[in-house]
Formats: sequence, C-alpha cells, structure tokens
Amino acid sequence: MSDRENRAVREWIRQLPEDEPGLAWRASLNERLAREARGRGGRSVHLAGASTALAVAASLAVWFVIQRGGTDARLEAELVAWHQSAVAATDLAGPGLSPIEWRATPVGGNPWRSAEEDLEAL
Amino acid sequence: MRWVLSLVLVVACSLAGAQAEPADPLLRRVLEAGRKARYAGERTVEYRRGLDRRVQTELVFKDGPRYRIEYLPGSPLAGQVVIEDGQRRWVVRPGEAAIEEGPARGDDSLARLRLLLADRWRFTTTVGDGEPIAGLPTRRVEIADERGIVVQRLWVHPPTGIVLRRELFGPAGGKLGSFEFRRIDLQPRFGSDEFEAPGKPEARRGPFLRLRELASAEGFLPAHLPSGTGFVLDSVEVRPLLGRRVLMQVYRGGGRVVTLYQLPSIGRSGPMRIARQAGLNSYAWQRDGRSFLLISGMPEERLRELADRLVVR
Repeated sequence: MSDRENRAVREWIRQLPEDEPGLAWRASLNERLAREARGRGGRSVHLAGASTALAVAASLAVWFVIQRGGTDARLEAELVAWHQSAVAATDLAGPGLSPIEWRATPVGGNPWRSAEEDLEAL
Repeated sequence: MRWVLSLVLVVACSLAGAQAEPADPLLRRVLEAGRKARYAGERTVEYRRGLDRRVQTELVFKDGPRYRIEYLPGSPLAGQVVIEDGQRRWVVRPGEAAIEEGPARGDDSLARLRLLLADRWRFTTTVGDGEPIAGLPTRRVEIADERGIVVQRLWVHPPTGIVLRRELFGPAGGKLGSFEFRRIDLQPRFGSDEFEAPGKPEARRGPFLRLRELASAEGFLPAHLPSGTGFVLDSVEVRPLLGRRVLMQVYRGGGRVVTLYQLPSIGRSGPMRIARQAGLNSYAWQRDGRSFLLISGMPEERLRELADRLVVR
C-alpha cells in the first residue's frame, strides 16, 4: 500500500465509534466467571469425595472378602477337626465316653462318695 | 467246563476272603479278640488337639462283645457308667434323669482297623518286638501309609490278641491320641447283672429323640440320615462355633464314620478345600435356608448319595 492509502485507512479507523463494554455487561461477565470458577471447584470437591467413598468401599469389600474367607477357612477347619476327633474317639475310646460326650459329673452327683460312706458305715 | 468254572469261583472267593482277613496270625487274633476277649483292666485314654491334651482314667470290664466302663473318683466324669450288651449301648450319668441309649460301638474300632489292614495298596504293616505293658509281653504293630508316615501303632498281647496300647496319628503324622492299660486281669469274674441294660426302659433316650429335642429347642431342622443307608446315628449334640450354633450328628457303619453338620446358611455348596487337604471328602449343600455338610473318608459321590437321602421329620 502507498502512503496515501495507509493514511486513509488510519483515518477510517480513527473515525470508527468508541465501543467500550458497558458496566452492566462487565458485571455480568464477572459474575459468570465467578460462577464458573465456583462450579469447577465444587465439581472437584464432589469428585474427590466420590473417589474417597469408592476407595473406602473397595477397602471394606476387600476386608470383608478376606475376613469372610478367613472365617470360612476357620469354620471349615473346625468342622474337619471335629470329625477327626469323632473318628479318633471311636478308635481310642471304643465303647467308652468319647471327648464329644464328656460332660463333667455335677457336684454332689458322684455316687462313689456316698457308696464309700455307706461302706465305711458298715 | 463246569468244573473249571467252579474252581475259578472257589479260588476267587478264597482270594477275596484272604484280602479281608490279614495274613499275619497276630493281626487276625487282634480282630478276633474284639468279639471274644475277656478281661478287667484300668486304662488311661489321652486325646490331643493342638496344645489341648485331655486324659481320662477308666475301668474296663469286657466279656466278649459286652462292655462295662466306669469312671473313677478324681476324674471329672466320676461316677458315670457306660454299658454295652453287644447290640445297644447305654450311658448313665449321676444326677441326670435320662439314660442315653444308642447302638453298640464295640466292634466299630476293629472294623475300622480291618479296613486299614485290608487296604494293602495304601498301607503297610510291620510287626516287631514291643515293650511289656501292664506286666504283659507285647508285639508292636506299626501301620504306615505309602509315604512311610505312621498312622497307627498297636501293642498287642500275643496269646490273647488284646491291644494293650494304641496310638493314633493324623494324616501328617501328628498324634491324635492314645490309650494304655496300667493294670489288667485276664481271668476276671463278673456279676450276672453287670452288663444288663440299666434302669427302666422308659428312662432310656435314644439319639433320635435327643435330635428332635435339640432341633426343637435350638431352632434346627430335625433332619437326619434314614435307616437303610448303612449308617446308624451314634451321637448328636449342639456346639458353638465362631458365633454360630452347629448341630453335629455322628453316624457309624461298617467301620466308617460320617459326620453331618447343620448350621445357619454359609452359602457354600460342593466339596470343601480343607477337608481334602486332611485326606477326607466332604459335600456341602443348602436346604430350607440352612447349610448342611457331610464329612467322611468315603468318596464324594457316596456323600452326595447320602445328602439326597436326608429326611426331615
């Protein structure tokens, strides 16, 4: 472009009307920006909360499965041991009382004592 | 031709018979002594489980298939008496109105021993010198599995076949328990009524009655294995386990022991891992909101059959 043309463009731009944003528009923009910022922050708080809850739930599930597995294993082991005791009791006790049947004689229920006392009285 | 077939049949039957009876005369005498021996003796019985060790001293009176066992002063079981007449078994406990009645157990331990001795593929038996027990000479019989792990030791009085000491071991060789005679009289005199059924018939209470009572009192199903399965109900009780109440029924038959458990639903079905590790089989199933479990040394298919035959009444 020649110098004359450049001057003409500068003159045309200078003559353009001033279009400054109004105060009301600026205020609404600020409000909107602030709202956006708040929203973004709230969403991240929600996300963090949800992640924590998920992590806690997952840990609890794992703990429960381990606990349940451990309990099941203990339960099974005890039931197997009871069966083994019943078998061993058959072989060892024969007709006698097996440990499964052992119930302590109640105090005062021992007839040997009274029988011995009777014998002594004779 | 008929003659040859008969000969084959006779030889086959002889071989089958030979498999059922042990070749060693001492072992045959042990099995015979279960039905024939007569003695009166004092023995200690020890059971071990982990660090728990329980010992009882009992007087044993045996007249062929009949037994009378008494517990002496000083024992927690003092005054309790067990009587067997070869068919039935009774337990009399001081201070209790009812007399417990059940099937005789006398031959059961020997039937199990017979199964063990007959299983020559899995178990080997060696006989050697044993030390004197209760003043009598013994021969020591050791039964080991294919790995060489001892499962059982017996100290046998050779002339009578009476087992004077017996030790039992678990699948990994851990000691389960033992018994040993301290004194024994091989020429005892028994009173005529020593092996008679005690008390009045109406005071005797069988295991099925006890099962119904326990089921009603504790909220279990009165479920059991019916007769015709080859097993008889020997004992029933309720035990606490990890916050649950467990109904335990022990059945015996042909030297086999089957335990049936009933407990609140654990949501498990099929075989259990731990039972297999212990060299046993198991089968669990659900019914009417309850869990049932059978454990035995028998094959799993047999346990499934038994599970199908469970009755509730």
